[in-house]
Amino acid sequence: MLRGIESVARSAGRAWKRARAGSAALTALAAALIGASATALVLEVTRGGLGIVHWPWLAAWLLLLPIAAAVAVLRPIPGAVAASELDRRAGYADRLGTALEFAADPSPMAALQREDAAAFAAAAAPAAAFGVPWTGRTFARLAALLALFLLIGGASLTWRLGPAEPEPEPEPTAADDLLALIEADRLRMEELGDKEAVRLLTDLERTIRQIQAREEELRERVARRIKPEEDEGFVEPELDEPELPEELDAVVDNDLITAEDLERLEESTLEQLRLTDAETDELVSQLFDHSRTAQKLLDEFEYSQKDEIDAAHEAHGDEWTNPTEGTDMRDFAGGEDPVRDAFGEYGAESVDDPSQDIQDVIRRDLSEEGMGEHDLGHDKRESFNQFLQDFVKDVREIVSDAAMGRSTKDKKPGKKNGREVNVDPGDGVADKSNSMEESGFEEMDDSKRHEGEAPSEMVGEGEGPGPEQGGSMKKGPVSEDAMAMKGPAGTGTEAGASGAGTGNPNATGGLAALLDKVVSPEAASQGPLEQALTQLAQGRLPPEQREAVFDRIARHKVQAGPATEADDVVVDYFAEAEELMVSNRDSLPPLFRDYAQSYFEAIKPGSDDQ
Amino acid sequence: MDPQQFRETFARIEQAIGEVIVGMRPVVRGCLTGLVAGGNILLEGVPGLGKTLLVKSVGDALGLDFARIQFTPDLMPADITGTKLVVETEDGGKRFDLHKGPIFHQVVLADEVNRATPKTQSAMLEAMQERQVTIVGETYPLPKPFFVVATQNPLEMDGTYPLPEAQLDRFFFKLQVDFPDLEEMREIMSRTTTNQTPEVKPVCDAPTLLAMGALAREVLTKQDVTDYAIKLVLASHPQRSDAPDITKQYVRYGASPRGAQALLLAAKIRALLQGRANSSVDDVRAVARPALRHRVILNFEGEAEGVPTDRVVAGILDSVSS
Repeated sequence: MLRGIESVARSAGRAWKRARAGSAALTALAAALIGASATALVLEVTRGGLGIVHWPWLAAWLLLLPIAAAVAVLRPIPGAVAASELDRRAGYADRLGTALEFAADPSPMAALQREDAAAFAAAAAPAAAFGVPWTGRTFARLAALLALFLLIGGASLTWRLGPAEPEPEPEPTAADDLLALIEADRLRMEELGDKEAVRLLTDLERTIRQIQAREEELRERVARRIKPEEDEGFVEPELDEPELPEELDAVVDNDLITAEDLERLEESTLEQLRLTDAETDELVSQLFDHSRTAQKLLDEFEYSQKDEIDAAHEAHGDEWTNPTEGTDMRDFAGGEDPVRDAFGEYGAESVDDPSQDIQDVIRRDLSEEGMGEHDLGHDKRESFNQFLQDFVKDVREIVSDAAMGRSTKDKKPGKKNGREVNVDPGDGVADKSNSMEESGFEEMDDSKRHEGEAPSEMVGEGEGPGPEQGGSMKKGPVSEDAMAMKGPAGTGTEAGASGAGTGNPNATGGLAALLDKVVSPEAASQGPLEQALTQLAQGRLPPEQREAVFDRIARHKVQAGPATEADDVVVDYFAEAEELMVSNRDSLPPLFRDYAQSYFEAIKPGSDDQ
Repeated sequence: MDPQQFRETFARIEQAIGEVIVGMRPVVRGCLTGLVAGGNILLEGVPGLGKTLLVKSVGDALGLDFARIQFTPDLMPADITGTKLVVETEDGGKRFDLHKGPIFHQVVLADEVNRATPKTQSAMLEAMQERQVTIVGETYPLPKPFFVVATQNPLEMDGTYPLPEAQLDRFFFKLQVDFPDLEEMREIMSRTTTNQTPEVKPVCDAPTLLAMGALAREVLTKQDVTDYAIKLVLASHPQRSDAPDITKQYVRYGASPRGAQALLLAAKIRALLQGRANSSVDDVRAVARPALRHRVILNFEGEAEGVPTDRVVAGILDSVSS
């Protein structure tokens, strides 16, 4: 009795395994279809190839079927579990499972139960109870998945193996047009019966076609020579030189530019651009002369300023100290303003801005002559700016001409950029059209210049001020150009030669070297000052930056002390103020005098307080 | 007694009761199942459905003495259990004699049990569970078999005292007495509106009933079925993480282990009635509602929404797999 139940349980176990294997295979098939479809879709999107790379993936997915079936079959099923499952599926109300569980129970109820269970076991049909659920819905789902897979795979195959798009027809070339014309002419000649013309046209057509073939071959070779740079893995094939007709060889040799030709052309061009020693010397000499001219002008400014400083020292005595030293600012905080008091005594109506009031006082007491000197200082500054602009332009032209292979000696004087340019390297800047006179530059006043005196640092071996230098730097009437450009202010002087002879450019000082560096094409990079000079030459530098450039130029040349026109103007102001303060020593309190000195010190170029 | 005799006896009792009670076959079977299992029954239904008649008929069919207690608010515990009275002896002396209350019957009908005070209700706890009562410090056993069949009206809640959870748990089954349908009404009318008064003849006696109960406890139950009954009970506790959502939403407190006992005992009786010597999961599921509906205590949300406990039990049955 019990063995019958156990036998049924074993049968149920086997049937259950088969059912599980079938169900697992069914599920694995569905999963394989879904996975293969997804894989095909992903690979198609990412790599664009189905026929080659997808089938292994599909095979891998299909491996799920035997794996799932094997796991389902090999998984052990206890007899009691199989009996309980059979009870559940067959509706036996736990008869078989209870019988197996209470197989050893000797009670009458257990025996009765086993008997009852055996009766049901005898009529049990495990295979029917554990059938694979091959329902219509299952087949429908599988069919849908299969259709999905075929759709994706088919679309991919169609996409990949479908008819290729026709390549675009090559655009007709000139040779094609020519061939068409030849063909038309040949037909016409045939109609006319001119066999010789037909033969010639045929030969010409063949020749053109050979040239076309050769051209195409050359294009391919050029393309292959470019490819290795794009693809490192590309190995350039060695092509045999094709045998060409003689006339075609002539065409190739005469009309095509090869890479070797380009290299030769480049070397030749570089050779032409290379300066000889003589040309280099000439260029250096020109640059040197120009630099010396600019340096001499700056020297003139320096000397005149020194004179004024000395004059200020003489007028002020030995009391030239830091105006701020010994000044007790608490005097201002105590409500008693000595400056205000001083101006009150002086008749000033308002002293809200002490510095402005001081300027008013100074201007009020400046004589007409002093005001003229003040305006003259401004004119000098503007004239020097213009000179520098022209100078840098000239240097650039010289360098440009040299680079283009033209010598300045061969250049004819003429208008360039709206003015005459004539450079004489041997005589310095003797050309009147160059800068000074034309641009309105006015030489300094004789009283502020040491005639014939050259700075010791400027005098090198075999060089020095020429005989024209001193004489040219005299005060004279205002030139028409200067008047036209600058108006009635100031007096004008003739532009003088800056000096004669040539020398070592390095001996010209820091300014020359600086300018040489600016205009030199060999200068790899430009610093802020050099850039400013370039802008200055182009007239794009604002006035305040021009002042800074001048200050920097002066500092390159002169080690210490003011060296620009701005300094000159300040010194003028300061001298007048000093004179005013000295003459009114009794009426001005000492504190006000110190205040004025502090003010001028602050506005002095190069001061951080200006 | 063997299972065959069990089924035959059970069928005779049902048939005897059916002579008086029209319809209500599930209620009759549930009531008999509870009595065979030795449990107490709580009948719930509107007045006039024949609950009292049903209980009296069961007692008559089983051949047991029957007592009916109408629970009222002024009912005292002694009115149920009885008391000791001072009586004069023949020799002129006096002594205490026990005056037994209605609880000393084999089948006690506690009609409208929720109208008595909790004190009186609690007087029945010992009798229902321990099958004994204590009167003036002296304990008296109740007759065997002893059953309490209580009724309550679900509509008239004014002036009632809902049974406490402890007392509810002592009822084996809670049976819902539904309104009879048309055919049943016709039969009721035909039986009760003539001069013929149907009577229930005893078809069973107390020893037979006890033997039936003993046989039912011998029914085999494999571990899976027991586990399933336990799972159902555990699933009625909202504190458990694996409790179904309906339990967590509407249940304040779940069934006690007595619920699982009732499930398994009732399942066994059902198995016997179906000719099997083993209970099954289906048996447990079939008796789950009457065994658990009064053991599932709804929370405020459940009470406010009027969620019937049968719906909760059905949700538990749906969520717990065998």
